[in-house]
Amino acid sequence: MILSKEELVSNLIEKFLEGDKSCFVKILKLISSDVINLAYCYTHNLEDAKDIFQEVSIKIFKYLKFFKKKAKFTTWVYRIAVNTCIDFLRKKKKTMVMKEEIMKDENFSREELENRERLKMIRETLNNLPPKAKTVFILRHYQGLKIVEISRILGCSESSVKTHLVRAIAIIRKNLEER
Amino acid sequence: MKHLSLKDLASLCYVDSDTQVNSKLVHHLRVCPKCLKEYQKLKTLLSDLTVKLPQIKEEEVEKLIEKVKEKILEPNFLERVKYRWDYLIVHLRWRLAPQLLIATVAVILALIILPWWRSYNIDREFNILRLEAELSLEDLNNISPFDFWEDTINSDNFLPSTPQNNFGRAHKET
Repeated sequence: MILSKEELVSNLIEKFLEGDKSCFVKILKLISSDVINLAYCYTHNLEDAKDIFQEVSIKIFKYLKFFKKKAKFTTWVYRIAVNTCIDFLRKKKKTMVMKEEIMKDENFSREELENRERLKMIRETLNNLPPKAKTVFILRHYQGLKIVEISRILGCSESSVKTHLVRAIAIIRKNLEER
Repeated sequence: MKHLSLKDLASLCYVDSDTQVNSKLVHHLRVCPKCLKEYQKLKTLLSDLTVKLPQIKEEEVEKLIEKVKEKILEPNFLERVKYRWDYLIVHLRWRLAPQLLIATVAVILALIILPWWRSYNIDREFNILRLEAELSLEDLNNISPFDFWEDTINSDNFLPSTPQNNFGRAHKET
């Protein structure tokens, strides 16, 4: 019988809570790609995404005892990851500007430069969004989550999620048309 | 003909609405070239925003997990203290929330009620009431219907006596 990811994780959680700490590593392996990808969409920097993954892992380890099985484990993890990304960006705001300044001086190939320019444009566009609209857009566009799942992660209604998504698209369209 | 809103176009791009609504929107696109153009523009815009997600090797993930394990399973003294503190706070917040709320309300009520209760002495209040009651009973026994009349006649300030009138004097002479 093939278990779904959610079932597999809930079995591992039960074992972990019974005292088998090796299960925690297996849980981390299952969620690592989701968390790193989400963090990358927020930061557009792989090293930062890895740092965020570590922070999220530590938080999961600390608070797994308090996880209520009413919600899906992935929903709970996404909620932690989103909050950690927001905190991380708040802390790193100043240093990120400094990094950009340094990167300007380095020599890159034309293709790489174009790619960097594109990433910069996307990052600027996303940074211009209101916080909730940005989160909804990242979860829908980059993570491919459904509206229902996003509403559970953010703790708001489905219609509110749709409104934020439309607002995000409207702002992005306006910003890109102005360029 | 009513054109599609941005909300409709977005739900078409992400296939968020149910099949019935979706088929209506698709049907509209077939007959309305303006909406079709808008839809294609939006789809291009959204695909332009696509970021190539990093492909992380399993070895790298394992390295990261090893680092996490080091932090979690072999924490230094400060990390251990911080961990305990966080655990305590979260435990209080999640597990003891109703009890904490009840205790807080009880403490606030105690802080308000106790000082008032300490200043309020029921014996003293009762003694005052009893004294007043006894005095009024004594008065009732002693007062005759003429007392009031006599009091008013004998009082000096019933009508002010002046050199021009002889109210007080006339009364005394009589």
